[in-house]
Amino acid sequence: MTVGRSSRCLGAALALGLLIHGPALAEEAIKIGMSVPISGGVAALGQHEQWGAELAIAEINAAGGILGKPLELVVQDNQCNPSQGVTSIESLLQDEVTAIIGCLCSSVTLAAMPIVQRAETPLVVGVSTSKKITEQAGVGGNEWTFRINPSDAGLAVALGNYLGDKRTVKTVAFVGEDTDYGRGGHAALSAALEARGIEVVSADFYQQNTADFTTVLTRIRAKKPDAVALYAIGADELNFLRQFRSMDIQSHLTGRVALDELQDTLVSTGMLDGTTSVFPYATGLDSAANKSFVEAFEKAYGELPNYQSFEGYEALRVIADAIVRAGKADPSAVRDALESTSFESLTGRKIEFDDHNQAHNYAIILRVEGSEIVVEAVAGT
Amino acid sequence: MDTGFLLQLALNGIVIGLIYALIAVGLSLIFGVLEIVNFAHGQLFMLGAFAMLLIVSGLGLGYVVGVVGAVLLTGVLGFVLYQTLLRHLGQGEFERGIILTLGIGMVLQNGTIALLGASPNVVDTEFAFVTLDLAGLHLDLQRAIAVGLSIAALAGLYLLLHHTRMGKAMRAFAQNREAALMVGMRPTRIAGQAVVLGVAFAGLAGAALAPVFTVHPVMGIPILFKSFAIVIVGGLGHIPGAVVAALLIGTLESFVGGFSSLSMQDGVAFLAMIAILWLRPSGLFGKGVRV
Repeated sequence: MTVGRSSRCLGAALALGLLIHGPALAEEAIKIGMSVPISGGVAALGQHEQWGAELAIAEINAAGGILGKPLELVVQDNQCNPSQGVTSIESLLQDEVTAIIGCLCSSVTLAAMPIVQRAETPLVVGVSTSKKITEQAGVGGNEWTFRINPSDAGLAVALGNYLGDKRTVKTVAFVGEDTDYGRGGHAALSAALEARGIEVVSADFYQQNTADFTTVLTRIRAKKPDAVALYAIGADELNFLRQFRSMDIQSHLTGRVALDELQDTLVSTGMLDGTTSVFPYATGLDSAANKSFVEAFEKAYGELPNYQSFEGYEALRVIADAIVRAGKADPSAVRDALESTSFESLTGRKIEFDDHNQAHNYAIILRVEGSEIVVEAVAGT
Repeated sequence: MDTGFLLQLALNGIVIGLIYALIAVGLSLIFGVLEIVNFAHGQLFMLGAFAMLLIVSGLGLGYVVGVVGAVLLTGVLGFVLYQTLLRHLGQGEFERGIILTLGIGMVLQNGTIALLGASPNVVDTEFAFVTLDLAGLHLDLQRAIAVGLSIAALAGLYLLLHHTRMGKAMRAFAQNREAALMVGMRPTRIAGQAVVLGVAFAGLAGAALAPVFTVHPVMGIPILFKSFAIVIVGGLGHIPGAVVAALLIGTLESFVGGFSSLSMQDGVAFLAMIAILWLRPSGLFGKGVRV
């Protein structure tokens, strides 16, 4: 009896709550979905992309929202795992989001693309760099996927040209994650380096969550390539770099070293001095728009923004801009509006999509000097 | 090929093999006495590493306090897990044991993520970034210490199993459960001791490796699967077999990785496991399959 009564009370309370809050909020806010890893080895990166998008939403809502409505972010965890990624996209679609930002990891983005196409909801990619995403988007068949960050190919060409101009690097050993990120990075970088007469002497791919890199480092140490190109992220990258340094290898370290994320652990200790890297973003980028973004971000979250937070912020703003131009928060109208985007990025470059729905923002060559990350060069992609 | 490189590969192989041994031995001990395949072993290893992180980086205490603290904490956790959960598994409930330990592992891993976050952490002890030069061969000091701890713990385990009543009872149980029961040994007590010991070994491995690798909540998974391969190669429940198999697999990986690629290196432990299952299903040292 008591059970029945208390559950009925609970039901009544819930119904009352829904009456007061539920429908009002659900109708008013425009929902933007986000699929990122918020658990697993790269959770910290997903957290940053989410923070970036939340900052953009806070700014837009503070200025009165868009089309007279506030924006709301709905986040689902994809664990950087394609099958979990599919589940995360499906639950976002059930929430009837206007557009989705995702999915951080290239393998997950590639798995999500056919689903958003079938559901006719736009997907704005901001972090994944695999070349395959561009190949499949736009005239490649998937008209619902847009990418605002440069692909691996664009970044690799920028890095290849930089290393080619240096003339000190003739041989490169490649080490990357055994995923679309690492494999795609290897294909793109090999082509870019060979075009500049630099030879890729070895390629090693490791499983995610690998801890011990002693063997491959012993081999690299014996072969003495001029440079080691690393395409790794999160905990694995930290493991690799600490072991790289403790083995006293003299080769120049380059590739896609995530210097921003390693600021507190390795860069500040001077252990990465001399390392170069290519990334679509650098905290220290010299533009007024970037400076105020960095300031606002640090104030809100107590950490400096990184590549992921920057792209989360930009992706959200690109979608908001498209919704305003579409005049309604309808996925199909927003997709059409995205096609004609011309939005100024924090880097100063205009985000405009080509026939593969790929934007061509800058690639930034970074270098560590005296425990600080400096912007070495800015190249088009 | 120059001999320096070969010797370096051999040294690397023995070092990683002794580290694997520490984890595999605990797994083998628990299986030998309880006939439970402990799928939570990787997460217990991870908790050992987090205990080290909290004691060394969080409280600012030294390496030794960290290792001792991690072993004690995981040992206590092993006791609690045995008393509350594992004790209730009956004879022959093999599948239940797998599901139960898998579940324990999930709770420990996701609990850690919920409490401490998923970001990778670094434990910097007073021994960080010191490299020993052994006649031209390089060895990271923290790895050397981990290996020292491993050898000491394995020697301690050997003495315990062969020269104490408790150890002899565990061996008796592993050899012949029915006979051990018949002569009046108390199964719950012996099984409890084996779990505490096996879990503390995982904790010790985690503490010893925390300064060598990055510490994060899913760090235990790959090493757990490798330990399964090692335990199967050595013979399930056979402790010296696990040590020998760990050294063999560590060395094999090092040479395969040294002359081919990382992908081959990752696969070789499992290729060895498949070959052993095919040629000698009970492992290199395993007793015949009991019917």
